[in-house]
Amino acid sequence: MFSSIFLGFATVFELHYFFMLFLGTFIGMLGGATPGISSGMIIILTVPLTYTMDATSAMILLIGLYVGAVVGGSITAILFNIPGSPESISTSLDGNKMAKLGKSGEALGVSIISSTIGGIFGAIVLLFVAPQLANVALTFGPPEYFALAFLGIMAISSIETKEPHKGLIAALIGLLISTVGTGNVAAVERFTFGIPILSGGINFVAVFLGCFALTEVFKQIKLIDLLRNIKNKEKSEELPIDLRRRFVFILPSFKFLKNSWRLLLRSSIVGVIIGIIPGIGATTAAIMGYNVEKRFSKKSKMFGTGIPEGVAAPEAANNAACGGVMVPFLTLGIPGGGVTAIMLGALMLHGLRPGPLLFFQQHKLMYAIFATEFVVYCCMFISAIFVCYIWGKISTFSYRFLAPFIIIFSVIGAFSIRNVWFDVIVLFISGIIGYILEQFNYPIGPLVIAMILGPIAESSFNRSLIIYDSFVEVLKRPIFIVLIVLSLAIFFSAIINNIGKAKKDNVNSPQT
Amino acid sequence: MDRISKYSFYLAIFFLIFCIIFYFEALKIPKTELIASMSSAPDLWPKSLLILLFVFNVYTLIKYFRKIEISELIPGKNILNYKNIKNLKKNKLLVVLVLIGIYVFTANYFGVLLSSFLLIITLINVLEEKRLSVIVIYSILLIFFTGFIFLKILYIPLPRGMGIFRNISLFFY
Repeated sequence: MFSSIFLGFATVFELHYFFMLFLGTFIGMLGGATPGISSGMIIILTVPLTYTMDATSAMILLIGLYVGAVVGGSITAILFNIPGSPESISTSLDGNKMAKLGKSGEALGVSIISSTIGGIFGAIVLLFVAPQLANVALTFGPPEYFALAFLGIMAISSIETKEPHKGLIAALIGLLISTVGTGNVAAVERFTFGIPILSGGINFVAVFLGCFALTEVFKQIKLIDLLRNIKNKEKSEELPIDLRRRFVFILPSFKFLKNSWRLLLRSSIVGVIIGIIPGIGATTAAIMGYNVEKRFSKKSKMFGTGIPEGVAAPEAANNAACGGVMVPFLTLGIPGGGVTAIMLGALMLHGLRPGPLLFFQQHKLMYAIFATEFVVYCCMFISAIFVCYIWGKISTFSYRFLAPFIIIFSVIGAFSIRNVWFDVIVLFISGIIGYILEQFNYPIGPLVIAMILGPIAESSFNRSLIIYDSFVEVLKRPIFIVLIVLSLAIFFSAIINNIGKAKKDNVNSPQT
Repeated sequence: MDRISKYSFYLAIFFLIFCIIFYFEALKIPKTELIASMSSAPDLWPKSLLILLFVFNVYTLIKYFRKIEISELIPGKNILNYKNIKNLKKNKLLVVLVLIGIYVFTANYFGVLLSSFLLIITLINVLEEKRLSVIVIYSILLIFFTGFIFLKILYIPLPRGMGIFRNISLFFY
């Protein structure tokens, strides 16, 4: 086995393959960081280009693009509160707060290092225990999938807000939006109101861009207006404030890493476990990583205020999940999510089908993929220095220039998913709805996450009802019970904490 | 009562009305004959979500209702007076929303790049950039960059518009 591992590393470090990996990672990071360009879009557009390459180059390039896009999404999440990809939604909770405190460089440094550590952990797991983990993933049936989706929704609803019931309301709205269109179990149209375009449902990317990118632009413009009014009232002769920030990229200290090793290990384990379950993906892994750390960390009360631990946890988890999603894909031929489904297509273009046989038939390719999962983080580290610098400098531009850039890229990005202008209208309406919700403390993260998990939850829910004659049979499944109890515990503990905090505030407030 | 609580109350009422309307809409979802079991009908999931949404909004309503005075819920007499309407024009956010709205609903007819160019110029002007040379140069550069990325690299066929605007767009892409 070790000779095979050595062969894999030797392959990846060949000049041609290393160049592919570096190029893929760099482009993935640039694209992932740009609002309007998603990881899925970059990878889909690259697949036809891989037809002229050999299978090893193709897979190395695609893995570089995927990992680069996942990490790149955290850059704009931190700098602009606009996650470049859904996996970075949890990163923006503390990352953007750190940026607002003038610590954007530190936040980016923590994000890059945590991504590297989480990703390498995921790669180690992939290399040594992939087949065993794949067997565990196979024990998950429809009830467990429903319970996992439920856990993800409960976790994100309770994280973001002081009023968890508002998070749950936002999540329920997201779940309802995901029901629009043709149902996924029985193909009947729901909530289409006779409009043909709605038969295909409401595009998730348009809602994601609207709720994050446009909403953030509206918030910043409102802030500029507010500051301008204050300046006018003070009759100051200074020009209006342009929200400029000085950017410096800073790697975290060794002391931080030494103190955070438990956090990074816990988050990476959570990321790998969530990642190996087909269909769940790195987004849920990031939410769960953040949530677990919020419960177990000594600084749990400070999560959400802008601490490095709040950036490290989701980033380690989502990159560990990048290794985790490759487990069912390579060992069983089951795509772990959308990106691995595209990679499956790329392999099939070359006449290959992942699964147990591929290990014996394409030994060199398999171990090259394993080695790529390690080496990609070296390339990511080098690329990050340039990409973070570029975006960091962009973040110091005046918002009067940034706002049109974000709006135009979001509009065209929303259009480019299905080449349908209706998605741009959805983007605009989502931006308005997201802004209104945020103004009244309804978080938009749960709405977006629920849209991703909604189809999984609904199809698992319906399949469970079809397969099992009674609910009692479902209750005999231990993993299902554990996940449901955990979900309810997470949500209700958040409510109880908030009630306790509210009572404490009432006691401490001065008597009138 | 603070502003957020007051408007959360209004939003909760809006969501309740939304739930009722969509529940009646969900009643119209056809049940397929293939799935014999009533428990797995296609309307079960959306109905369950609407009921849960209704329950949580009732909770929100009760929570805020206990904190308010009835008089606070009635809009003030001066809400629609001339001064308030005049102040709306100075609200940058509203102006930007209107501009983006006009862009979103007309770009398909005038061509995306032409409409985007006009939008960028107007937006930068609204956001108080006064230097004309900077506005024009930045707008042109941004449009070129956007066109290069989406048209040449990603091969996304952007809408060209209709009639004469289509001919103008064909000249460029």
